[in-house]
Amino acid sequence: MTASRSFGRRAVAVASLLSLCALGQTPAPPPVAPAKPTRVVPPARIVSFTAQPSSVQAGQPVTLVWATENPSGLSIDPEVGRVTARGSRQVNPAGTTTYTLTIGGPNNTHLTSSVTVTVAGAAAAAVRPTTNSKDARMPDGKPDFTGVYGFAGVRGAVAPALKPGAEKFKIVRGPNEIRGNTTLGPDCVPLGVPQSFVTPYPFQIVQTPNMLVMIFEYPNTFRFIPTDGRPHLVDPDPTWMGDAVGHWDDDMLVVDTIGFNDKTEVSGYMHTEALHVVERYRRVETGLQYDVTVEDPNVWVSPWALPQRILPLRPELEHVEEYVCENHTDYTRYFEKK
Amino acid sequence: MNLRLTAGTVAISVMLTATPSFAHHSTAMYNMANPTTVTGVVKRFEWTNPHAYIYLEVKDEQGKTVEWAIEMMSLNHLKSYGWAHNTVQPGDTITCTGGAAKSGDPAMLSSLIKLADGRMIKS
Amino acid sequence: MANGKPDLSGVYNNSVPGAGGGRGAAGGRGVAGGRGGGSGDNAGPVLKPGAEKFKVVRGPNDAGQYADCMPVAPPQAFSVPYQFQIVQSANHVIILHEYPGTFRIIPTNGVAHPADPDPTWLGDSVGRWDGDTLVVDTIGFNDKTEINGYRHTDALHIVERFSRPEYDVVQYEATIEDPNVFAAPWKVTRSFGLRTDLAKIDEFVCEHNPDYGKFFGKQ
Repeated sequence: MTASRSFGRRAVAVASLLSLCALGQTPAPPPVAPAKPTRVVPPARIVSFTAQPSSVQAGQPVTLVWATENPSGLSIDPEVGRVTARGSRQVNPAGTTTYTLTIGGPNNTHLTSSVTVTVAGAAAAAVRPTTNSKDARMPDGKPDFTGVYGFAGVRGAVAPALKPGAEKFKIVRGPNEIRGNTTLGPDCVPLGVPQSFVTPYPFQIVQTPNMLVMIFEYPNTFRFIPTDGRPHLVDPDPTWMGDAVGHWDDDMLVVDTIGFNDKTEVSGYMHTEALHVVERYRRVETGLQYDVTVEDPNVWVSPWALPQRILPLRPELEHVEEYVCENHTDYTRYFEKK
Repeated sequence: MNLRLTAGTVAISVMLTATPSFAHHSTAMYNMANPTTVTGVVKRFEWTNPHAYIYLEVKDEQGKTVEWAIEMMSLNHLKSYGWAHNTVQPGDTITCTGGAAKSGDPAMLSSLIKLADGRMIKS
Repeated sequence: MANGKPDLSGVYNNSVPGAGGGRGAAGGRGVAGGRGGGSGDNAGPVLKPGAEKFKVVRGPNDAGQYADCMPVAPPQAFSVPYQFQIVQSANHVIILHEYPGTFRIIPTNGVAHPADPDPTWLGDSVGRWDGDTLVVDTIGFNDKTEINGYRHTDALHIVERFSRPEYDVVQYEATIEDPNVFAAPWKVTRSFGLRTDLAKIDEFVCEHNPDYGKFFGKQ
């Protein structure tokens, strides 16, 4: 089998035309705007998919490079799995292999593209070490949570009663509110705990025998969670992400955090520096099972156990991305007509 | 080439835009319910967080050139739609659809862009 | 480490090279070999002809390169008077800079650079071991940072070597090249002292960063 060529513009144009013609229709001119807007779904497309080089000696690595637009889920088989919209990945085929990129588009369509890598001779395929397995362990036998995890959605949560006089802590958002319902604002400040998990951005855990480092892509903040048995700092300087200590309870990591400032939100409530958060993490098949209880005696009459979430593993992500808050738009002037 | 399109209906892309499901912040300052479309020439493309921006030179009804600030999603979201830092270049003629600022300023939060060669891409 | 490699984990002081490339300084305790070998080290680069515009010239009303809390690229990141932390796990080395609260994730499991990296402030890094030295190769920089008084293009390529010759010292050498700017690759060497009193770096959130430009003079 010879190596196939990658997509060119002609192929893209053909794909678009095919997609438009699937129902035997020719592209229609845009109609007059109706009263109620409906969703636009631009077509998914594979812009390119190549193997560099496409012919190797056994044991040499090959880089797959791809670019797609508007995909809704894509993967490369064999060997690679889920991938991002654009990217590259090094593979080590043991013999001549055809790699297929599959992407989903609107209304259950799928597009595929394949490239074949010719391998002369034979070799054992090099295996990339994976730390994403549910059963990954550290040398001391503790679970290894290293990996990149994603967003579990926004869950409605019913808080305990507010302490009398604490009504001001409940956040009421008016119509000209810049912060949305996940509290992301234009100032890119850290969101605290557990609110940092309530964003459509992934986070990464890197674990050593003495600590976990948790890195949140939004807004590029990190937490250190020591697991060497040390206690909290005696009078921690109040910070956005708090002071955390962790310990293992069998295969569950229990993280106790204090030392928060009062600038963050917990599911619709502000809080004081007395906030105390206890989290429980357990590795399950699809990611991290996450339970969290918050308490602040100045706000709620009792501790509040938030709904359990599974924070899904994101196997297609090698690491979180840089997120640098460079522009600071003043949105307040956009609300009212001049 | 090995393009195969499996059978199935494909939504023809006409019509208006939906509010991005996870804007970085509230979109209340933009009129998302009644989208606007502008066509112009790219002056500058800022590939930045928390929002990428295209500064677009648009001719108004009087033929005067007005610079529009086209706000897009954050880089993480744009990359998941297939954007790269050079998907748009200064000098490209593009069409942007989105919610314009309620104040009347030439600014919008765009969720769909037609690129110079006619390709449509979420923004 | 379990795999026999040296463990670089710890909190370290940044250090500033001596003026004019003289004695290398370390913020920590006694350090061996501050200056590094070779007469060219720490001498600064030679610009390619026509690349004079890349040398940073600051006027009197300039608040400086650190006025905006934006990320600082290596090796410049090691020049600010704050600590940094190295966290080393089986497949990663993470470098966290207290100023301005940035991190670099360096995989050490053999992954390659992406074919066409999205340009970022701190670039895309991959690491490998050369004996007991961690070698970090970084490309994919944007052109928004400056290094030792020079701007650069997105062709910047930096190779850093980290070693730990003594328990309380990390030795560092960076080779910097940008064919659009510098006539040849040039090196920076540093030593960093371990902070045995610190378990971790502090949080740094740029919450209140005024526009200093208006403070310079009467308008």
